[in-house]
Amino acid sequence: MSVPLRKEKTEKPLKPPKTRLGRWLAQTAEIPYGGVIFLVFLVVFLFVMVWSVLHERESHVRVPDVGRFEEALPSIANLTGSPILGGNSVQVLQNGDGFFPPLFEDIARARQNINFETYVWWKGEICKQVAEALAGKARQGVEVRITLDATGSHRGDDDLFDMMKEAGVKISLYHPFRLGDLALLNNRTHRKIAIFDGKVAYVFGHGIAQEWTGNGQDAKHWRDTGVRLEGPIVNSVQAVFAQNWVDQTSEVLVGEKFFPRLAEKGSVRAHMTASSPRGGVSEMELLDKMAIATAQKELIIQNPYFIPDEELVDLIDNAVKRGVRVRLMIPGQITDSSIVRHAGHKQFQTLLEKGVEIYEFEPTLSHQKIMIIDDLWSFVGSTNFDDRSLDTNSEASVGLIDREVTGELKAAFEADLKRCKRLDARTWSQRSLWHKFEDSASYLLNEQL
Amino acid sequence: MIEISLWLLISMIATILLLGTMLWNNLREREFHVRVPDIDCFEQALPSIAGMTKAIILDGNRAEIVQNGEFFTALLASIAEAKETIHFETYVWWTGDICAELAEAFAKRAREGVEVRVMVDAMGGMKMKRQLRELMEKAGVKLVRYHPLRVRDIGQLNKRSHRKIAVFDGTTAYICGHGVSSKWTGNGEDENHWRDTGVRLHGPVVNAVQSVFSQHWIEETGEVLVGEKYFPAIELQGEVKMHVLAGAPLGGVSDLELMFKMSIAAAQKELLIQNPYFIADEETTALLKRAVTRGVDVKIMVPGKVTDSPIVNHAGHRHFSEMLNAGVKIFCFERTLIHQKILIIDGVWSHVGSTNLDSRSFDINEEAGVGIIDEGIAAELKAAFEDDLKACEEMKAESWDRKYDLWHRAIDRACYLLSGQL
Repeated sequence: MSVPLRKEKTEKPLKPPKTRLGRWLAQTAEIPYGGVIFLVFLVVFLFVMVWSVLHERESHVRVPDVGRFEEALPSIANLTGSPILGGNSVQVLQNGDGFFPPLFEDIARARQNINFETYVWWKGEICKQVAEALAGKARQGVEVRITLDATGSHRGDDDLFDMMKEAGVKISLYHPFRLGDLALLNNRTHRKIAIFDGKVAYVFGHGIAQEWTGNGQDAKHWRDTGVRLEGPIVNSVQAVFAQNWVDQTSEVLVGEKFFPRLAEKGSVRAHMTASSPRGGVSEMELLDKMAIATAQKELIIQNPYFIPDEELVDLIDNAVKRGVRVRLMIPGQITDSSIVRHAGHKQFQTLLEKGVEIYEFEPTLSHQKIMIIDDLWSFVGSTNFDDRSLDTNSEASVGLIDREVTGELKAAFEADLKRCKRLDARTWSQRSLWHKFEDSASYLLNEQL
Repeated sequence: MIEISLWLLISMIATILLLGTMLWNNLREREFHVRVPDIDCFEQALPSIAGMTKAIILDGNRAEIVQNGEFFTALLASIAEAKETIHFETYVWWTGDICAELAEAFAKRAREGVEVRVMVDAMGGMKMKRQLRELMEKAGVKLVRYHPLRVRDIGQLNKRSHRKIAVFDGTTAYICGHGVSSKWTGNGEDENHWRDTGVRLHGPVVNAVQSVFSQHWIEETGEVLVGEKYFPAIELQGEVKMHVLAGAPLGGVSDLELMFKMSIAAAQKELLIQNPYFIADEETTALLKRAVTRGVDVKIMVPGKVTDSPIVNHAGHRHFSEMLNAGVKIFCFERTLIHQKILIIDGVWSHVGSTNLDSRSFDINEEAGVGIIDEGIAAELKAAFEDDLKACEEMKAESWDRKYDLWHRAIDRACYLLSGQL
């Protein structure tokens, strides 16, 4: 299209632009009507297309009532992408003191390969220890693969990453900044998993940072929970690792050293749920909604980032009406994301009035993502209760069907309760206006939190 | 002519560029070059193939092959026998007596109180007759269209459900290549009766097929299928091990592409492929050539003159010369369109499903297939393959190269350029 330019009519512009560029831009161009219509059409068309591709597809899920929670479990597992596998053994790992020592032992024991995926890799002594342990194995000829989220690990020490790479560790950065992949930038991997020789797997909430060491004793040592798994379910955890690995590196993991035939190791039935951003309803959102809708006696949620949308609030409300005791534990003053904390508060008044018990954990950040239902089923992993985890990120958590393991997690919850402050509806409604304002303002951003 | 400030003009152009980049960013096919290492034993690769495609190998199943129009006989019998639920998902719903027959069967059972859920792709089912739709809906069949044209979903329009599955009472399932149209009736005898293959499944694997059906059902309707009538605890029914494959494109490496490439890379003795839309990219071509070098007997059967998509046929020709010269055997089926999507490896493992060997099936559409680890089933499918060979003409490197003149080559290349969408 030719664009004939001409000088602006000199009818005393109020402020003549000073720079040359300014003057040039202040000119007008004469173009045909058709051209303008075409341009406007193009802008509108592209806008609709982009919006249609990017907008969060609304997913209103209707879950019918069931008589028993057990009856819903096969549906929950199958609908979220993984069948229930029997014959597993599970070890619950609490805080840094319970998590890192067995992790180091398994690193030391690994003979063929170590696969590790994490979101957070910050700074501190523990990062050095993990890096050295992994590099040491790589030097011995063990294949070590690490998927690190590019955002979660950008604070990490480059020297450590270089040291590992030199030792032969394969590090894959998940969704690094690339012009061609701008659209992926918002999708992070929040998964925290580790698999050793295809036979032992860890699913956890811990990041690799000094904050996750210790025993949840103070503001600098956080509270978190993971599990160590053996048995057929380890194949499923490996498959979850393999997903992001093949996407980022093109390397396909083949052979018995990755996917061995696994003998039964215990009596726990388990199902692995992993979500990654795609068109439909995310597996994690479906799982949360189905689990809450089918609980019959008791629902316990421990989560650091709890921002329920209206549908979840309704489901929780229905659960309370069915006679389910609903207890929710979230961080108190100590949180690493006060905007998330405030956004979560938006719905607290409603929840409290409906009869949900809400507890704020006081001593430190409680970072574990746990759900416990009817003393039978528990869910442990990386998944927060917010839109980012439910719709955007790539997550991994494991469902465990076993009274003993669930009992152990519930005992830990009850112990945490002693270090909590319970919120009550009356004093909550009297929180300061400023606090209420912060809550509403933060909630506006909830799709991205 | 209209006078417009340069500011406005430039900002409009900038917006167009920005939005265009975002759209390209989101919609462009991400290139994935998959590196599959060679393995010495095909059986050893099977748990990895299942694992990499997010499936579990499930034991204790039984499978029955259904060939050509026999599929409808079996399907109608299953519809008549179902007690609680009938789930059916398909891409093609065109015209013909069989459409009315099927619609009436669904409607009858719905009237009798069976929950009937039918999902038809909005594009593939465009030709569905209105009276049939109304008949089913009036009878209480829940009839849902996958990805219909809605302004807010315009960005999803290219993504179709190409799945062909049916699940009865959560205990019997079908996975097939058949569409609902008179083309799929009969016995593959002439151009109006196509050749296709499906499989009927019993056993724990049916749970996995049910969850594949539920995916699109939830996406379109929000209705979650909970309870034993959908996901019963299924007793072991036989000795066959299986794993279900359901394509989940968007963003990552496609499961079905991975399955095809991994299984080609892992084949040790024999590799048989029957596929109506076969467009090998450079990587597949290289994998096939490597297989031949390893000593694998590679036979590929594709449509000859009878095809419903000449453009795909031509794009497929792009690497034929290279493959033929490397020792890959290619056969053109001449009697009618072969529509089945079969893969048989080393006489131990076979794949039946909806997945074509092209970018549309790998990267765009939603597909469903099943991997069957059983020598009996593999032998049955191989016998059918050999029977089909009789109606084929083998392509020979010399005669192909002679026939393959400049004009033909130009058409092939032009069609191959579109292969991202084919």
